[in-house]
Amino acid sequence: MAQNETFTARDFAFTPNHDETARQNFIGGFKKFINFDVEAALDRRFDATLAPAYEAEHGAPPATRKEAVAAVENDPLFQTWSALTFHSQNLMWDAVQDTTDRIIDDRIETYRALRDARPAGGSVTLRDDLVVRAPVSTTEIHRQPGGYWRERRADDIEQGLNYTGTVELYRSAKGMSARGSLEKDTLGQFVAEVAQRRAPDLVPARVLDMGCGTGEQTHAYKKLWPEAEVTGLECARPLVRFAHGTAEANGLAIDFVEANAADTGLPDESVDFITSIIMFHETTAAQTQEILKECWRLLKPGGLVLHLDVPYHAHRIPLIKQATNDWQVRHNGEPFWTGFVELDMMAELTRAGFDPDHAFADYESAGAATYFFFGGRKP
Amino acid sequence: MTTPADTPAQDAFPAGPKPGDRTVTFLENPIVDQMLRAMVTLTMELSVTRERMRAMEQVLEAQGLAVASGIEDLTLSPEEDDARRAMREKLIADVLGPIIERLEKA
Repeated sequence: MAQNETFTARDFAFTPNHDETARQNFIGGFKKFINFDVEAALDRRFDATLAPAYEAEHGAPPATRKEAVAAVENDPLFQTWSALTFHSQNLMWDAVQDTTDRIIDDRIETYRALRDARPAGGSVTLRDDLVVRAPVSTTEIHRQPGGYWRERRADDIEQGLNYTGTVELYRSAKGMSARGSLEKDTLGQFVAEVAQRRAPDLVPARVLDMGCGTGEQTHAYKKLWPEAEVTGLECARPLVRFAHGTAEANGLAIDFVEANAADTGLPDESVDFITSIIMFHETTAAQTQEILKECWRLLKPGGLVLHLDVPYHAHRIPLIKQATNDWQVRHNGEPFWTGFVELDMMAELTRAGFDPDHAFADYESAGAATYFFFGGRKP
Repeated sequence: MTTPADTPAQDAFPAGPKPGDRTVTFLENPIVDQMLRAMVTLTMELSVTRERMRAMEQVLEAQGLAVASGIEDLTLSPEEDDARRAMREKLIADVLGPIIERLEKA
């Protein structure tokens, strides 16, 4: 823990030691092998063997997700992909838990010191009246043991440390250093870039980042618009605390609030820029409509709503990927994925009150990755 | 913004969701599935150990110690030999234990 109330980002960071780093790097490499090498082999096998076999039996090649699943589910390569993917997830949560268990007491002490000193001038607001309903509150998203909500000690931030540890692990899977000081808010920077392109005249006085999780991406908005009042909203308490501690340790004045994105408690037309990153596919399709209505209510005239999420719409991805996604939904802690990608987002936006002439639901690419963007401006 | 006390009473902590099933298998033969996973886990630990050894040798060589040749010249005491045997046997039990456990309960 830092002395004399002077803090650095590292005081509150997820810091694996040598062996933990080696283990987490291995799991990153293992996941990379599954996602690239094994899935490429499965892709080739689907086209060369599994789809033709399905056609021979049914008189037509597989054309829907359901038919693709039927074509692959008894295949040993698909089953091996499933077993390896499932195991990689078990290994990942176990490996980050080792680091968290070793540092948790120190980080909670640091959290209390940061919360009390507020060196950056941000805030944390926890609301005991917040009720998060099932199935959102009872789902272990990504099979994170205990989900986002589990608390085991006073001022707990364990689930925030575990979550952020897996983000580091994925970074190492992409060849980035897990222990380095590389920027962690690259996705937030990308969202801000897209926002500036879509609303070049917008200089927001108030920014709202919904479902901000551990809050690292929220940093990008405060860095880009330092004069803006930036609020991060999150409904899982351990993550809200963790986000606050991280922002304070990084010298960024951001307000974090424990709240439901569909019922923020903020005034009408009070926000210029409302955003989220991969939040919607972790909630129900019914809740999506409620959140969009809330966004429209909160948005100032001239403001922009811009949400980023997964681009796995059926018309965009090959059948084999639909089959592996179907497995992820059933077995790997992505229960809301299918419901999300099956929504007609333009219709949802319009139904929520968005002006159809100024709404959008389309795709943007950052390097090799493509994301789904939706939202709109209020005239 | 207000900052209410964020230390609820210990007994007020929510139970949280039920732990997910971490033992579900996907191959026709669950034992083969478990063996595949055990193999990956072992490979991971081998990778970690190799990195540790490299780091150790690099640190020691940098301090002027001839580690590589020293290891080859090392003679084990009977106590050290026993300690290594115990470690080895525990590792074997750790690797094969879960498979036997599952077969026992099947």
